[in-house]
Amino acid sequence: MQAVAPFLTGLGLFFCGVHFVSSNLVPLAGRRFRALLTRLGRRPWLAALFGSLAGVVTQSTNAVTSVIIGLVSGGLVDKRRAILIPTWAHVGTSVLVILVAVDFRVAASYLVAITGCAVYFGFDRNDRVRYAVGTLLGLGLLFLGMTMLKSGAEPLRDYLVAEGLMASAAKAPLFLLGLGAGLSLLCQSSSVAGALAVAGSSAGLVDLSGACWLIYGANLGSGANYALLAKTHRGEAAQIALMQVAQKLAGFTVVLLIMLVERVTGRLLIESAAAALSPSLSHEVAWVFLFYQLAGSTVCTAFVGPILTLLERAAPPSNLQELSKPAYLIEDALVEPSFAIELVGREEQRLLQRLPTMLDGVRADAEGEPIPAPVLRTAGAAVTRAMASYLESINEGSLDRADRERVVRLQHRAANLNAMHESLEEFVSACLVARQWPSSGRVADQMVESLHALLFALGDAATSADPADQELVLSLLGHRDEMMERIRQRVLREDPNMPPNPQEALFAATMLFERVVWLARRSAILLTPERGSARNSAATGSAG
Amino acid sequence: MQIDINDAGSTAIVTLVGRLDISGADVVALPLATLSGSKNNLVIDMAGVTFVASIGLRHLVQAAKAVGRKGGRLVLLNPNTAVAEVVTTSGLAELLNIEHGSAPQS
Repeated sequence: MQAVAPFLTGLGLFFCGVHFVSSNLVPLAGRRFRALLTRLGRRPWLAALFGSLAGVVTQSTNAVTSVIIGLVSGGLVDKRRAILIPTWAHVGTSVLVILVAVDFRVAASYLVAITGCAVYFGFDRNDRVRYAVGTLLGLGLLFLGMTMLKSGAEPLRDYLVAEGLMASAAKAPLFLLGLGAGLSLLCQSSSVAGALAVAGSSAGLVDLSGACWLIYGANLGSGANYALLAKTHRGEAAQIALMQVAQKLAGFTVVLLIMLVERVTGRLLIESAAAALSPSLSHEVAWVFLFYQLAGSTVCTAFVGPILTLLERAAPPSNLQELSKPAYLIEDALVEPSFAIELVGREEQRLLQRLPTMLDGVRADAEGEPIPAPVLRTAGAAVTRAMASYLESINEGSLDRADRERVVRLQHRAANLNAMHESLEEFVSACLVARQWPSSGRVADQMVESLHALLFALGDAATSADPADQELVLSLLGHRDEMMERIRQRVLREDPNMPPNPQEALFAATMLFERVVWLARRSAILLTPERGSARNSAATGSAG
Repeated sequence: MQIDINDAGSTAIVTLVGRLDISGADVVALPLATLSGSKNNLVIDMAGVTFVASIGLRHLVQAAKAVGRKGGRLVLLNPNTAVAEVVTTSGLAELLNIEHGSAPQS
């Protein structure tokens, strides 16, 4: 148990580090970073450069993959632009193998020390600084974790060496293939197993051929790691993970093809090329490792279209992922602020028209299979978050006064829309409980139909150019507090035997009905700026 | 949903019996649209309507807006308590003019 403690600690620190990096990097990714990522991702060779650099800096394709998954899942980066970046990060992590052994403890210590001081002395009060500190802390934990993982795997390595198993294994390629795969699975890193192959070759335990089999196995093991990662995700996140599996398989396919040619020609092509590049055996092994990554990444880049088509079939997006994707928030449109603001308005209209479907789960009259309210709520939150982020990006540019005002109104409308999604989900939950009793159930059903009609009217008003539609919806969305109180009192008076649960649910449902109508009124007012100030100050009165 | 129309004169009297849900709304949509375009006033006898869904309300609102643009009125006559509550809770009581009594002679 004691022997595996460092390994497990390293694993925990690694996961913490990856989480900190991705959760802080996503909000930190302002317009400039995202623009850089999208510009770099637009051309494959730029994605290759950026991915390789990311691999060199982080020395962890898992971390780069997780960050890209986070950015794509958060709607901040388009999958097609970003999917090659983790693929080329594998090339960057070859630096580890090429350097044979890199001690990250120093770098990790400095990172943790700096971020710890920043947190303790309160340097992270500003949002951007806090996210940056969080990212650096995550990197520090990640490096510390990787270091502990590698050192934690040493007892196993030492055992293999001491028992002479390594020497026997050198004569059994399939065994070495399996060993490399096993080590890669254990250490969560093909470059660790690659470094072991380098160390083993320099210690004379394996020759170049044996080291090559270790490297091939290590990469296949890494592919298996990504296959397992893909199982824990769905849709685009799974596709990104599966692309890494494709990279490993592509590299192995290239190696197999070369071996076939070697059989036919009787010449050792890979080993000859490695020997020509470096006189040292350990560096020859490192070059083979690099070659494997380059081969796999190049094949994936060359065939990215067909591979992506296969991946999209293998891991289709979930309903939630499809619903969470904005339809109008186009990155390229940010160069034209007025047009970009219009696009946000269209996105808002789309969400408003989708809002009534949140009630379909409690309506007998709903068409088709209703999408559960929690799914729509989560999807709505994702889209409003993307709207808010897009508006922030617009705001970073130079806007005239009118556009700046439009941005501010849209920011409030997006927040309002998110609140409506939250309240509607709670309203649906309350109605479901209220239906457990006939009298409260009848009231719940009436409120559901009324709210559905009101939300439809709001959606129509958002898209209508007719001022009469907007006047109508404002007249419908008066305060409901007195009406709801009358309904509550009447139902309780007529049915004093109502059990506590439906009674509480009825109370909650009526309160939430009031809240949703109030929020809808806020949206309607914010939709009509020239009438907003007049309506706001006029008495709204009860609608019933 | 069953619909009966008495459209002699400037006021049409539409008698509805059944549920004004999706399928019921399909039955009344075209007649209501036609009558609201051609008549000054509409009286919808709701005594026989047992349930009104959101889509039914929307058709009634469309008809009310259409006659309203010509200075006329749409009246919901004798809706039951449940139907009246849905209309009131939706804030439509002023637009849809709930009344109780006998239908006007055309």
